Amino acid sequence: MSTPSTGTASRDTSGPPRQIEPGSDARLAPLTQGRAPGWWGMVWLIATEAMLFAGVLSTWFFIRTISDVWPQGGAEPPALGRPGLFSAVLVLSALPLSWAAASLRRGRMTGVRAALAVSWLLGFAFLINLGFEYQALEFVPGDSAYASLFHLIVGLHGLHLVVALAMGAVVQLKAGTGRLGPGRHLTLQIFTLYWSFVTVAWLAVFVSLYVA
Amino acid sequence: MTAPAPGTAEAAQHRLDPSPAPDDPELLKRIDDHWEERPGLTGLLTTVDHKRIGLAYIITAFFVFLLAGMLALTMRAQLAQPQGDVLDPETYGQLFTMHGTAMVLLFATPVLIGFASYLLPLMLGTRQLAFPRLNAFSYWLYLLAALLMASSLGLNDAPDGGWASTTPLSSTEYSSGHGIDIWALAVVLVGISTITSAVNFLVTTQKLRAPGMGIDRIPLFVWSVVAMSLMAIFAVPALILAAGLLALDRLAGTVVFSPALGGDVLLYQHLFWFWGRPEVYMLLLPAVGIVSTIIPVATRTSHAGYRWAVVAFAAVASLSFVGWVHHMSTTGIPTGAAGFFAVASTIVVIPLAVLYSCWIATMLLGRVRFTVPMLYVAGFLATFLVGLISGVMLSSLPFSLQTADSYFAVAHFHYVLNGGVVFPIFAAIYHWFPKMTGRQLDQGLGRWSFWVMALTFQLTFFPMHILGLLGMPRRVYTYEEGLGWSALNLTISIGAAAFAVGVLLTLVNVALTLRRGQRTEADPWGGDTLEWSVPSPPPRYNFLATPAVRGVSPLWEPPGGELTSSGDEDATSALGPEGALERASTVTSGADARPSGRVTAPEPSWLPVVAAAAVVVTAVGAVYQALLVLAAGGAAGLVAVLWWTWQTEGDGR
Repeated sequence: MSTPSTGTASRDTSGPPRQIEPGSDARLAPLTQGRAPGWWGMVWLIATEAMLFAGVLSTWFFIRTISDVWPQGGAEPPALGRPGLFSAVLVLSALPLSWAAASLRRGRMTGVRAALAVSWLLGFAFLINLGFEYQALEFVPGDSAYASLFHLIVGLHGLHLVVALAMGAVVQLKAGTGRLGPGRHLTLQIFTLYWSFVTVAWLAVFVSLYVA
Repeated sequence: MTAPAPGTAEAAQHRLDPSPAPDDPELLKRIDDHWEERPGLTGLLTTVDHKRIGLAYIITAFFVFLLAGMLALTMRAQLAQPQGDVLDPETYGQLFTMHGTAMVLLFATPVLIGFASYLLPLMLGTRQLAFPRLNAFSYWLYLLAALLMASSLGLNDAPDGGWASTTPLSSTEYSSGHGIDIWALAVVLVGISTITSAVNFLVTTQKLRAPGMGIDRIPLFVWSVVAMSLMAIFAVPALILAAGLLALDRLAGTVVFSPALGGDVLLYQHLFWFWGRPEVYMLLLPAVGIVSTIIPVATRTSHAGYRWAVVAFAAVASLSFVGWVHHMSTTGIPTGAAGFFAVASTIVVIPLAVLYSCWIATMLLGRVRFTVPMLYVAGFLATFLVGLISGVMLSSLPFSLQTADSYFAVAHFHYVLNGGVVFPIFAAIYHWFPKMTGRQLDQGLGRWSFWVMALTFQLTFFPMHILGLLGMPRRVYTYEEGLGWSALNLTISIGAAAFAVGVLLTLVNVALTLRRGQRTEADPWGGDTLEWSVPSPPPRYNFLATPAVRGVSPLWEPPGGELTSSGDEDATSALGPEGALERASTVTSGADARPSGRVTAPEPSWLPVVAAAAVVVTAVGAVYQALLVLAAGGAAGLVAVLWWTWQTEGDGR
């Protein structure tokens, strides 16, 4: 059959289609320029989630502005010590991910998996502490709008952290089964974006609810 | 620059890029096989084809349109006479709530998303949306939300707090039953569906344009969808918050909207209208994008002021975020604040005026062919203009204080929503029906439908301005005799029934054409954008050879010239039939769309519909506080999503 006369840049298609093995480099080759669609998808997801947190924190400050007494309902403002400590733990949990990225570039999969595990454990520790803090809260949601929003905002963040931990487990599994490698960074990049977002979101929550 | 005479798909294709294989049926068959989906219901439930999903959106939305229209007709029957007894007040409350919610959230938004889903890859010159399975997920979520709302009406437990479900009316104290809970739930689901669609459209436009389609060559409809999507990303979370907090207050004992316990009732309105204001422009912009697409085709002249139009879209999108308080002008907001928002709301008229100027200029520069799509566009131009004027009136604070929540407001928003969004949607149907089905709608019947709709529209909605100025409030189930309102109400009710006849004519047109309509070619209108270069209906893979784009109206460019090639074989090899064979599409990067890689379309999958169903089941379990249902839905959803994330690597993305 005839091949096109002007530059479609397509090859002779008379033979069988070029077989590409799933997992082989050609199919998963990174772009020569610009970010992958999946990366951008995560960026937009984070933008919308950031708006969600902005909305809920605006609600927090709105209620605060119209309140004579803060916290409302005679609640004690929360202590800073332990939450502050574990906030630092959560921020630290984002750091091993750059170690993971560096290891991935060099093809050191054990380094990748170790870094991912450290990150995950730090995040998990934060979540466990969050559970204890939650139980220790003296107010229930129905006490006041302050109490409702406190529970809601911390709970909303906790939900995002649970999702991040689930994602982390999937990434760890992919690392362990050879689905990540040099030139195949996308999954780790996307995960790092989301994990970083969860960390930053907590900082915003912490400053708004505990410090301010 | 003007167009050549309308041509066939082959002529257009040869102008762009000589197709290598119209004479190789065996290759075409192999490509078709690689894109095949399973037959019947299974195929539909597992589809990842953006065209199929787009059609599903449009068809579902039109069912909603008809249902919501019947609700309106029932309300008009009640209001045709003073002290009518067709409906009792409780039912009336459910009807106007459902009518508004369904029209805005379950018809207008989804139908435009449906057109976007269908058209974006075709207009951009690619074979898929960025995230095909996510697109399917968006649709199933929407469908299930729509069914949920419809079922509440059937169970006589429909929401009845108005389409905005404002607190405290919508709080448990004044609204018992599950109606408002269902409302909140459906709203959250549709919100998530809109956001996922928005992400899809944005990334598709960023990364999957045909080589050479620089940012000043992107079709205006695509730009309008980009603007809509950006707005959705930043506005819809507010809606999710408003509805979510309302649901939690009603179901979980939180007190965010209870003044007695430190909450605030007005907070709800701030959250809701922070979304509500941009939302109406999220509906208007794609409609305007449709208008900007059809006018050049009807006049065979490139759109005047392309860059002005894009900037106007951006201006409308941004300005729409600083007007929300004008929906709250009678709630006791301090005058200074209300004044700021009044000014901000009025300024939005300026970019809209710019758009009108572009359209009029285009029509003056060319010769207008009043095809049926162009008739509906003309109807839009006239009707939306009236809505703009009444809108400017309403944005003035003194006027608003007199006419808020009166029939003047009802007149205004029907002029801008029915005139400003529904007319372009009908224009879009007549314009793209041939492309979607390979058959051409009856133009004579189309003209009848247009004229009946256009004239009865005025009969129905214009008198509402007068009623509002005479003092008739909205959302009332009846009125007394002797107020001077009776004759106007009767006129409106008659007009509404006649308008329904106009709509019906188009439906009959569609039904008849699908059965034995006249077959049509690839390019019956002499269009300028890429969707007219493929057969009608398009093959699943859209383009056999991805065309190179050399202008904003690619089909009107002179022939010749080579495809852009960046030397990256993986990227450019996806452009031709081999790429179609491998289900691949070229990824382009940068403002000038240079090939930089490829993506491969995923195989059809059950995951989207399962994940959507799981989300809905979980939410229903939450609403009815059935923990077992909630847990089952949550578990199924988690499994589906984790399986999905596992799959993406295997697909070679």
